[in-house]
Amino acid sequence: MTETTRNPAWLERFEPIGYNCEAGFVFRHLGDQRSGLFRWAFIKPERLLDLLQKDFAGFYDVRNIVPHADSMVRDTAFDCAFHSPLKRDADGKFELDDNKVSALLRIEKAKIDREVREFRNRLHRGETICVLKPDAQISDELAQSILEAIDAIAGNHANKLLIVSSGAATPTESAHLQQVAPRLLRGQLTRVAPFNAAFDAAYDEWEALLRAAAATP
Amino acid sequence: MIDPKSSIDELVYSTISAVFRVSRDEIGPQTVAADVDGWDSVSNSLLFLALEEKLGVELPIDQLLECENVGELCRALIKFSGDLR
Repeated sequence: MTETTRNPAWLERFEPIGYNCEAGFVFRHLGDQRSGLFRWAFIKPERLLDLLQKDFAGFYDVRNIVPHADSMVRDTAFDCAFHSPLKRDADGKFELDDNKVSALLRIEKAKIDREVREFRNRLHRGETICVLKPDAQISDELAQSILEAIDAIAGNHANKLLIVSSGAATPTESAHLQQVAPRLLRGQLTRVAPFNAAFDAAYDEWEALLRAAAATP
Repeated sequence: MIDPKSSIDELVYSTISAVFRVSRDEIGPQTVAADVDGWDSVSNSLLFLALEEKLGVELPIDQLLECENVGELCRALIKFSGDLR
């Protein structure tokens, strides 16, 4: 089944695109219970760019899906990991028998395909702010390439990209937000969540940053 | 003659009850995933798998994903089972 919620308009504009679950926890904290292709996924910015430039061709091909963490699977073609009901056993294999694994992968593939369609639709409609919190600082060149790949999928220039990183000295009510190029924003928090505790986000700073980003012309 | 609607409804309710370990009495047509502890987008796949195993067919997952509550899920399965005949 699908999860539907009615969120404030400013909150509806955001679409997390990696690299881990921190933004997913932030949006859930803000009351946004929607799913979303990358909301609970793990993907590094360089592989995200590759995936977007290929317009998702070959994404979640079940032949490339392997056990990852205890309850995650990984698409080896794009090094993208997802939470999954397929659990990994002590030998690093799937816990369930082959028939159940095949059935669950087919079910999960349908879910991912639906999320990809919805992701594309959102970009087509425009006014979406894609939120990327990379694992390290990324160059303006890489950020610009990701935005261009988003534009190519969208078929328009109506969406924005917000890169979120740590480095702000102090939290501020207005948030540390900077427009570095047309439709390309960078925001700084005083800290990002630890890798193994993505739920430990600086929620108030995130909210201030997102509100500021939504208010940009 | 078995009423296909009531039998599908019962199958869906009992499967949800078993997968998410929730009382059958707590499930109704207006129930949504958020009403049931542990029912999220990940565990939802386990529900579909259990339904496929009980029905013995591959289900149209993309259609089932559009359902917003248990009642819609039952209706989608009734329509699918009718299409199979």
